[in-house]
Amino acid sequence: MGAQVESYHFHSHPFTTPGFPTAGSRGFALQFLRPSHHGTPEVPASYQSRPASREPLLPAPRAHAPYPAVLARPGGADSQGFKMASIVPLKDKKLLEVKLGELPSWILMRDFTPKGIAGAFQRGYYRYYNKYINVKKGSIAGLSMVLAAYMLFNYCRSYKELKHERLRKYH
Amino acid sequence: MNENLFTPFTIPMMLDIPITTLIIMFPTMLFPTPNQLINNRMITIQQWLTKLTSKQLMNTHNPKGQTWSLMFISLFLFITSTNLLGMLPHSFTPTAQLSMNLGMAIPLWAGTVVMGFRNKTKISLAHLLPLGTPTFLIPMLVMIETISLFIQPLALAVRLTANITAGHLLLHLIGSATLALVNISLFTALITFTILTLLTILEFAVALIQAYVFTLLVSLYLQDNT
Repeated sequence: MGAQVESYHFHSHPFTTPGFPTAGSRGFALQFLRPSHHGTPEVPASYQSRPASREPLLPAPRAHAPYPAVLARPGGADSQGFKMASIVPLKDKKLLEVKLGELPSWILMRDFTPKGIAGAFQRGYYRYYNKYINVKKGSIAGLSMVLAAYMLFNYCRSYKELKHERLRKYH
Repeated sequence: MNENLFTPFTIPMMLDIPITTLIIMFPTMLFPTPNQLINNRMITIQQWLTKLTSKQLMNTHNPKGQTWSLMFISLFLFITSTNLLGMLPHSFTPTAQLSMNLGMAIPLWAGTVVMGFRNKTKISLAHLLPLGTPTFLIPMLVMIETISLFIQPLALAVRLTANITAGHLLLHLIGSATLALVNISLFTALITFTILTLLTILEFAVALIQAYVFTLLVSLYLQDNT
């Protein structure tokens, strides 16, 4: 338990600035009431510290390792002159942190096995689901966007037959 | 014109690959699994509707018949969601294909008949003869009842197919007629009003699901109770 507490301190380093209480379990729990740093929420270590939110009980499969603390640390916190690009392996970077020259190798390193592709679909589904539907006051917009996208998909699929029905002299 | 009328019912292709299976699996994305006691609004609404429907469907069965509840509810949800998604423009309705409806009707009907014959053989055979028929009519009536028994799955499938297909075709026809008549404004209002009423009546495609499952339910009911 002690080791796990340490690892959470390590991951959520930006919140442990002097302004916030960090000692004790109450202070530890307060960190989780802030909006989470990444897109997908992590499962906390204990139930006492779990907020009464709509977080999924099982975490979605991650595309990469948990977000490295090196990149999460605000700049200059440990002023040893770290070069961020060299310290984090290419495989673990998110898309927006990949430099343009590294992009082809980053794409080739992605997991294209059936399990990887299924994981990608599952991640995308849960990302949308947790953002628009699995919220306390979900509205009709969450469902309507899906239906609108379905309509658009079907329109694109049947465009070849539909273009003959335009009001034109020559098709 | 002939080709345009039936192109919505062709197999959906994307880059010359049939994606029928993907479109059939799409409604599953709209029914997430509830994993908490109090879920989000969408799941709560779905749970309420499912409870309402299942109570309505299964309360006339004895416990043996109620083991089919899961089957009936999933069938009902599938047909409802597929038909309602087919009401969106440009979408493909899988239940408008006879092959699909036969694939749903024949196994389910056969299951109920076989179950009835295995568990209550005498009573199932006795169903083939209504009460109080004159003696000289018995052979003919048994044949007629057998034929009507074997017509049941065909009727189930064709009923659903014909209703959905006819509804979609009518909407296409009346819609294109309205567009053609827009230049003659006298009839336009009348035609658009017809479209409106037809659309609301077609929303009762949902009632077709009721018809489908209810007829299935009736046959199972007869097998298990009497």
